[in-house]
Amino acid sequence: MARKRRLARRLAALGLGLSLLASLTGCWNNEPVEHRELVMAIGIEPAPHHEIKVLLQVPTKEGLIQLPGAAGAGGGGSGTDYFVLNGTGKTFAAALSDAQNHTDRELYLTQAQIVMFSTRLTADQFNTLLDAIQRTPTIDEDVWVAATPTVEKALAFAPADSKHIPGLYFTTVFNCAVCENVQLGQRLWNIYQYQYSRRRDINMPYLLLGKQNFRLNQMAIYHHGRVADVLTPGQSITMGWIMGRPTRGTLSVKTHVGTVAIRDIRGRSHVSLRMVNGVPRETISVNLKGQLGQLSGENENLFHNIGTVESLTSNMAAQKMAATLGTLQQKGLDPLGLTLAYVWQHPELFAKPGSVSHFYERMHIRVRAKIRLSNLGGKT
Amino acid sequence: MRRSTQQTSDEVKHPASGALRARTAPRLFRAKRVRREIHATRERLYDINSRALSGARELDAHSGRVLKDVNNFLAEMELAANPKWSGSVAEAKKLITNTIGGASDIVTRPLKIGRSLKWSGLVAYVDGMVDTEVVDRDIIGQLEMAAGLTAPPTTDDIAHAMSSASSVKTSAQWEEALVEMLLGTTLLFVEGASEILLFDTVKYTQRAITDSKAEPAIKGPQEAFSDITQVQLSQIRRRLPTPDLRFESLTTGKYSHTKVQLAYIRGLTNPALVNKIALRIGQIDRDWVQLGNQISSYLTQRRMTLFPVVRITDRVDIVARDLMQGKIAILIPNDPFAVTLPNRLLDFYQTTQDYVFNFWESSLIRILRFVGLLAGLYVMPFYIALTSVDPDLMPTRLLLTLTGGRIGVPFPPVTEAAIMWIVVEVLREAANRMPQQLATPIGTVGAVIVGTAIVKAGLVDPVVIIGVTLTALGLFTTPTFEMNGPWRWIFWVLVLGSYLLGVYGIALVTFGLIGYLASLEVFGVPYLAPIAPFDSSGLNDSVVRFPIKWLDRRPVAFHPLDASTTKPAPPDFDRMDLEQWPGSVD
Repeated sequence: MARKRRLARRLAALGLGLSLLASLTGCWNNEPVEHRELVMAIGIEPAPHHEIKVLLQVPTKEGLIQLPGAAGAGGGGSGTDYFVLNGTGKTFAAALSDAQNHTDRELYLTQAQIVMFSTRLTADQFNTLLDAIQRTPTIDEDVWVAATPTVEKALAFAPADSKHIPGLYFTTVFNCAVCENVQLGQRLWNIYQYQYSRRRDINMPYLLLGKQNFRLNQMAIYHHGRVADVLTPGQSITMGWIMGRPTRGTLSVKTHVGTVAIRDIRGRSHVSLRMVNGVPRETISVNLKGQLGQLSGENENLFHNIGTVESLTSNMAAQKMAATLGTLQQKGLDPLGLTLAYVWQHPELFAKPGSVSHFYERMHIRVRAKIRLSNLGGKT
Repeated sequence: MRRSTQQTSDEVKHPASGALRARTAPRLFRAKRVRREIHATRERLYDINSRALSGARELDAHSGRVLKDVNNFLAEMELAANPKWSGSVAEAKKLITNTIGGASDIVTRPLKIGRSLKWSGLVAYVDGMVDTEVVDRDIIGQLEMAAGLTAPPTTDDIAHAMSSASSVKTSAQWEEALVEMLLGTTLLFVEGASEILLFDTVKYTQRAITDSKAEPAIKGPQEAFSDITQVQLSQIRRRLPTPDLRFESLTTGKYSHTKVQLAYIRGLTNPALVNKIALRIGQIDRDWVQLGNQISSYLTQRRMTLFPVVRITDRVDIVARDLMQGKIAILIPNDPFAVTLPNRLLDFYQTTQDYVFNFWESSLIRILRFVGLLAGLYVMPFYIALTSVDPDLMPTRLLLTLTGGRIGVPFPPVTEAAIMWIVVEVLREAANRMPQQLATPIGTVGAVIVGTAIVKAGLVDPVVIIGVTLTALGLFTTPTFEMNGPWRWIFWVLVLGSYLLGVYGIALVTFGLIGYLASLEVFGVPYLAPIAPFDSSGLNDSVVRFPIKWLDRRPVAFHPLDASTTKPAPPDFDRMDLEQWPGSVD
């Protein structure tokens, strides 16, 4: 009898413990996915009265049902596959709260694919936003980022290949090495990294609307929280070579055997700093590989002169890279963090940004490029 | 009463029987008095109405039962006072009638022993449990025609006189004789003898030996156990014709007197294990033991264990194999399922079929069983966790697809899972209770129709149908029936964990489960052996089944006296001591 009572007491204690455990899990707040607003893209732009406006691209029920594999898959697009939810406030949290007030479903930001920053944001707004986003745990740090002058239009724009849920476009475009001329994808944590280093200017893709798709072939360079420059597509490809990004651009070189087109140029770069007579000398060594694509003209001796072609191509690439870096240097922009090595050697300069800028202006930048042609294909 | 009157008149006609008259006079007087009272009662009864008459009849019947109970009680008292038979045939008949309650299947038949001696005797048996032909021909026939007996005949004389009778033993104890009679033995009481003769005349009506229904196999042995213990023993002996195969008979159950057979291989099974199990069976304090499961619950200390520690099987080949691994089998009369123990988790995943096919096929089947188990346990909990608690862990496209499928479903995923699981369980239970010819079509049609209807009604997401189907199929890949229940419980614990804490909850329950399984020990045999504690030699017959030639070691977890399956080794007598048994004998 006593044993049964003991067992009953144990069972009661176990039941009570489990009930308490269940009550502490917060399971009553768990909403099934279909009861959440699944935000696919976040846009942030300035609003009047020094406020910011948050724009959230959310798929509608109809849009979700028409996805392949979903219950109602197979139907055509109705034009209401997604909508843009707005919220305005002094801070990012206040703007999100305002957006939440416009819907009866819980906003779910974790699956957002991209955060688009308006190029019109002030430096203060941009820097504050980065801190605020970092303090918002529901936004994944793996999310892509982009700068665009037209946030609202970009969010409302449906690329042809991703009509139902436009935000999904970015899951492929930035994960696809050959979708754009140069792979410019930057994730939020990359931006945090640049911001905290304080000696490297943030770069992110510059997003423009095309006829069918977004145009993503330019790089925006931020300096102290503002967009200081937007590189041309050619400069962006050149920067891609230096940064080791996959590129799809073609480099045409006139040689004594004809015009040679080199494509799929990619490689790795190495930066070294030397002080020569008090002048900093930055040498950027870029080792690239390229594919011989096309050859205009006829020359049977091409294969015997491949070394010459490689040399010419390397020189041309080095000139292009040096020109781009020179332009950036003139504007005081340092997306590569070329001064970092110097600052780490002289830690006292961390507190003196002006002296570092002066150091950067005096820097002698030299680019050494070596392109090795491989996979000789195409018309020969 | 009329008979008494008749007797009285007969005695008057024969004055020579004066002594008899003197003896019967008081009885006659009492009988006359009773008759007068009955007449008077009848006259009074005429005056009362029919309702009262009905009550009186009930009272009469009740008083009859009370009288029987009183007689039974007096007989039991007499038995308690005199546990030995006194040698009186009349007393024997009276005692049998009073103790067993005059049941219609109890046959008591007086006889005269010896062709010339004509000595009083009595045969008693239970009709339907004995071979009446043997009783008539070999016992009663031979006794009545026996020659050369002297008065009073002894039990030895009787036994010698019956050349063709079956095995015979003697007992002077009433208790033993009565129990033996109820188990099919024929009792012979000889007037003046000191002991009762007990003839083995047992003959049960038995089922034919059939294929195993609980654990069917595509190939290999199909034979299932019979209900009759003797047949069960012979079925095992046919597979293990070795003098080392031992059967120990142990009786348990106050009323059922169940003769449990403990089977093991001498020189192979650890005697410490045999002793411990025999001891535990002896300690069973139940008045009625009929099933293997009743006994098994008394064999281990951890009686609330969720996971089975004994295997209950109707397959003869499994029992033979388990015996050869150093395990013990327990056979229970009238139960065609034998109990084998101790067991590890892996033992419940080993079937005869695994050894019928070649290495590749058997290993594939084994792996599929475990994959099925994992799928059955985890598909639905992960679905619930990912769609309710942790959608961030899903790839975006999968999330959107699942969300699209769930639009319009009124219930949360956990409720959907519960609904579908109830449907599956109801269909399964209904299919189990139906005749075999109806079960399969109704189960299939029911599943298809109900599943389709539920999806069309929008009550359940199609993905949940897939998940629950996978769960049901995955959990039923477990080859032993007793293992299904625990995994179904664990499934629900996982579902609860996933609903409360998401993937973290699943991980928590999984770690708890592994810890629980690792702590489980049956008679010192770790439940997760040979994985924990790790024994590389035992892995050759675990998740994969190595070629038969390589299975040359018995599982060390059972501490067999001879671990090798190839070279017979002399028994290690040092290990036969109970003190040498490793771990707690639990």
